[in-house]
Amino acid sequence: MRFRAIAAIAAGLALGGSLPARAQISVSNVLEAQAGSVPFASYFGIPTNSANVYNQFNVVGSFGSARGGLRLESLDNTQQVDIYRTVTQRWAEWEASRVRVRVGDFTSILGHGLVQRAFELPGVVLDDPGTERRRAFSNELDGVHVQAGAGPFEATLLAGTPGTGSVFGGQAAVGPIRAARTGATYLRTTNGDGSMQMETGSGFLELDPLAALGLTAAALPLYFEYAQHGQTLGDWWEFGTGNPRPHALYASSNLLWGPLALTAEWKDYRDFRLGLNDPPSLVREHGFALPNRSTHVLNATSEYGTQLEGSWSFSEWGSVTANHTRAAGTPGIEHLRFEENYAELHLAAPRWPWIEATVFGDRGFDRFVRIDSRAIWGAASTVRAFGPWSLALDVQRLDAERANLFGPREGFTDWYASAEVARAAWGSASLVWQRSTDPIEEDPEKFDDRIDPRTFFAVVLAAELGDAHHVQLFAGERRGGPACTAGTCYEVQPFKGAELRVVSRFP
Amino acid sequence: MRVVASAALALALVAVPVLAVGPSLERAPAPRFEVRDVTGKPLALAALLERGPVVLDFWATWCKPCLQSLPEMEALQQKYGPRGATVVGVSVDSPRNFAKVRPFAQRLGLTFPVVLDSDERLQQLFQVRGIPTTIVIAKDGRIVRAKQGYLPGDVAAIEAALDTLSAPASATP
Repeated sequence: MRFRAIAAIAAGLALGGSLPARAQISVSNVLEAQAGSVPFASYFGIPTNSANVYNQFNVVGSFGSARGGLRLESLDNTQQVDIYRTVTQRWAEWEASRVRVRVGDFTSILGHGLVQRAFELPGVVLDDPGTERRRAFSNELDGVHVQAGAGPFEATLLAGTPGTGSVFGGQAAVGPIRAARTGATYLRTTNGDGSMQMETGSGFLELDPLAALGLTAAALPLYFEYAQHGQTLGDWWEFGTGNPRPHALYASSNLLWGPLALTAEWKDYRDFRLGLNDPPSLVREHGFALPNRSTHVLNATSEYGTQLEGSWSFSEWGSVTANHTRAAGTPGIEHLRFEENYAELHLAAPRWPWIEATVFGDRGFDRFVRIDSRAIWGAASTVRAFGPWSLALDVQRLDAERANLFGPREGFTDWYASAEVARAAWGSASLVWQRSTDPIEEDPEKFDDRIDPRTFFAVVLAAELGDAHHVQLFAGERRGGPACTAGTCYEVQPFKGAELRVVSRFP
Repeated sequence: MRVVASAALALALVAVPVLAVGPSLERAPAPRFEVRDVTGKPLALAALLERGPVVLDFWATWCKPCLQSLPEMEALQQKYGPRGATVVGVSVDSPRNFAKVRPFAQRLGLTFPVVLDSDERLQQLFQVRGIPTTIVIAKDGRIVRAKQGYLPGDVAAIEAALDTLSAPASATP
C-alpha cells in the first residue's frame, strides 16, 4: 500500500509540468545511506558491517491561497530491524489577508518558548540510542493551528496532540504603541488517558523605550516573560521566584549603539521541564566542534542564572566578542553550578578580503555533568587567494577534569583539526582528525589503568550538482557524543564506515 | 538486497522531478509571506517584489559558514539595493539565541532587514533543509535560484542572477 502511495506521488511529480500555472509543487529530499559499524560493536552485541538507508521525501503543493504538504520517511537496514515506511507529516492550510488556518502537522511557539514550542531540526537525522532506528528530528503537533491579526492585535489558537495526550491553548498580543508589544499565553495539556490535566500560562512584554521615543541612534530592546503552571488564575499574578512554586522567569535586554552590542539575560526556572516547551537556556551556542560538544544542557527542573555578552566591531579589521555565563540549580539533592567565560577575536579586514580568521578561548566548569574544569582554545582561518579556490584550517584543543565518584579526578585532552580545500560552485574536500584521552572513549574491554588515546580520522567530500543537489560522502570514523544545533542538543552515535548524504530540492 | 532497492527508489524519486518536470519547477512562484523584522517593522514579500528581486538568506548566529556569507549578502545589498533588489536575512535561531540575533547583525554591520523565523514557518514554506540556504526571487515572484550551503566565492553566481534581474545601474527605484 505504501509503495503504491510512493509511486503515485512520483507519477504526480512527473506530470507536474502539466499542472495549471497557478498550482505549483516544490520538493525536497534527504537521503542518508550508511555502510559500516559502531566501534566496539561486538562488546555491545550490535551487528558489525551493517548497512542502512534513510530517506525523507517532502512535497508542498500550492494552489492559490491554499497549500498542502506531505512527508514520507523510510528506513531499511540489513538486519531488517526497526524498518519502516511511513507518512510522518501531512497538512493543509489556507491563508487570506491576516488569517491563516492549518490542519494537520504544525510547528508553533508561544511567547519565547517558556510555555510551548513545537519545532523540528530541518535536515537532521537522529539516531535513537540503543536501537537501529533513524528518523527526522521533529516534535511537531498534529491538530489545528489558527493565526489571525487585526490592527495592533494578534491571536493564535492551537489544539492537537504531540503523539499521546492533547494540548489546547493560544496566545493573544497587542502592540499598543510603537516598539511595544504585550500579551499572554495559555496552554492546557491532558495526558493520554485523560486522568491528568495541567494548565500553564505566561505574560510577556516586549519594549524598546528608545524606539518608542523616536530615538534611532541606539536601540534598547527589552523582553520579559513570566510563566507558571498548576496555579489558579489569581495565583498567576503573584511572582513566585525563589520559592518552591513552579515558575519560569526570563528577561533579556540589548544595548545596540554604533559598534557596541551588549546582551544581558536572566533566567529562573523551577519545575518547568514540561516536555512541550523550550525555554531559553542562556547558554552560548558554539559553531566550533569542541565547545559545541561541551555545551551545557539546561535543566529546567531547577536552574537560574545569567548570561552577559558584548561585542565591539572595528570596521577596519573585524570584531571582538566576550561572553560570561553562569547558572546554578538543585535538580536533585545536590546544588550544582555551571560557568563559562568565552572570548573571541574575529579578523576580517575589508582591505584584505582574501583572508579571515577567528581565535577563541573558553574556560569554565559544568558540575551538572561532573566537569570540574574545562579550557578550550582554537583558531580557524580561511584563505581565498586562488580565484574560486579556498583553503580552510581549523585547530582546537580541550583540557578538562571530570569528577570521579569512586576515585581521583579524570583529566583528559581532546584535539580537533581539519583542513578543507574548496572550489566555489563545485564542492570541497576535507580531512578531519580528532584525538582524545577521555576514559569514556576507551575500548570497554580494556581493563588496565593506562588510558590509550583514541584517534578518529575521516575524509569528507562534498559536491554541488547544480543548485538542486548537495552531495556529501563521509569515510572514516566519527566520534560519538553530544552535538547541539539550532538550540537543541542530542546524541550522535559513533560510526565507522562510509556514509552518503544527498540533499535535493526543487526549486 | 532490499536496502539496495530502497536506495535506488529514493534516488529515483529525486531524479524523476529533474528529468520530467524541471522547467515547470524552475519557475515555481515563491510563497508569499508577511512578517515583522527584528525592529518590529512589517515586511511583506509582495511589497518588496514591487521594487525588484529579493534574496532570502537563511542563517543562524551559530552557523560558521554564515559568518562568511552574511558580509557578502551585505555587499549585495549595498550594490543592488539602489537597483531595486532587497536582501532579507532570515534567522532560524531558537529561543536560546533570540536575544542575540540583533547584536549579531549589528556586529556584522548588516543593513538589510533581518527576520526571526521563530515558528519555523518560513523554513517550511521554502523547504529549508540546512543553512545557509539562499533563495533568489525574481520580480515576477518566481524562484530563479535556491541553493543550500556556502563556499567562498559562491556569491558570484548570485551577483550574476541579480545583474540580470535588477534594474539597470542608472535606474532608481
